[in-house]
Amino acid sequence: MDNENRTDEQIVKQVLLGVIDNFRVIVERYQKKIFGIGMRFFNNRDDSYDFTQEVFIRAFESLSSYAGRAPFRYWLTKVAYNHGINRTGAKRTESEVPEEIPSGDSTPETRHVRGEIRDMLMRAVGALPERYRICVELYFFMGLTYGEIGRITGYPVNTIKSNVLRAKTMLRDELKGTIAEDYNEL
Amino acid sequence: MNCEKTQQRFFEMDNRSIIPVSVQFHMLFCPKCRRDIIFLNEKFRSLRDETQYDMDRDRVEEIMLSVFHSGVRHDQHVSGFQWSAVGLIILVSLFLIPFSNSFGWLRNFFGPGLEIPVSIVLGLVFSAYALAGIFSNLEELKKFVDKLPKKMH
Repeated sequence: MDNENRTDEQIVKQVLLGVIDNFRVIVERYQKKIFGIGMRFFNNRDDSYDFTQEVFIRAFESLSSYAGRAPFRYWLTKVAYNHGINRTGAKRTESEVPEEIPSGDSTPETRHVRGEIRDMLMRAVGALPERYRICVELYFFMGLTYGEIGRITGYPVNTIKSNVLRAKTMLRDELKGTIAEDYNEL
Repeated sequence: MNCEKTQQRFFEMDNRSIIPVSVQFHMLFCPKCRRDIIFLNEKFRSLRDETQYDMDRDRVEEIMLSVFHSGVRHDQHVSGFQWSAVGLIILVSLFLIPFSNSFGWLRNFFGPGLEIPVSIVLGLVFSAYALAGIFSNLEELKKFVDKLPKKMH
């Protein structure tokens, strides 16, 4: 089976069996996401690049402690979040949302629409209380569940849920009559 | 259930969960909600392939270089429990050997003094196995010994 089609968990098993080079697939899949978490903590590109590298090295070093009970991306996010907390030295001090450019993929239309939705979400995230912004990002961009986010951040699940709900509502309101909706109707 | 409540239920959904039956049922009869929920569901999902911030530098090679230089190797480790469990099975088997039919046949062939050399050889083999188990789990054993007085109290 091609590495592209393998799940994270299958790849991790191979890495643990000694095929270290397969860890590259994990890095390729998650470097942008981890960089995003770094930006939330440091609001600085250079620091976030260093953070990304450190997180992957930490994850590799402690890979044998991944028991495989939860999705790998949850475990990796937990490693990243804890490292972010340790590096900033202060818990729950995420930074302001910086202006960003869309990431590249698929057709220009899809890219544009996705970029628009992402920008809307980032605006919605920006309207949330600062300390809860990372929860919404972990929900939407990492695909983690409320419970997983709660275990990582230590925030109550109901608080996370209400902030995600607020972001979803804002996103829906903003999406009405936008290019994304028009594009969907085509 | 009205449209507003349906959308509320849909928004309360967690990641990796399916659309609730009550919402699906409402969607069957309400084309507007059906269109909106399918649209929003697809948009929310598409964010999972997105990233909040774009990287203008690819770090894969640098990270992999650090990984290779980290010196960490994830060799498969057989735990102390596994060593002990298998050891116990081997030990029981060793004790049962003199009662087997094959051993009885060998005893008749080589004489009654056979048990002593066989016991010595099997004892040596088992000692080698025990040593291998102990040395490959020295850290685990050390921790166990350190915790033993606490467990005793």
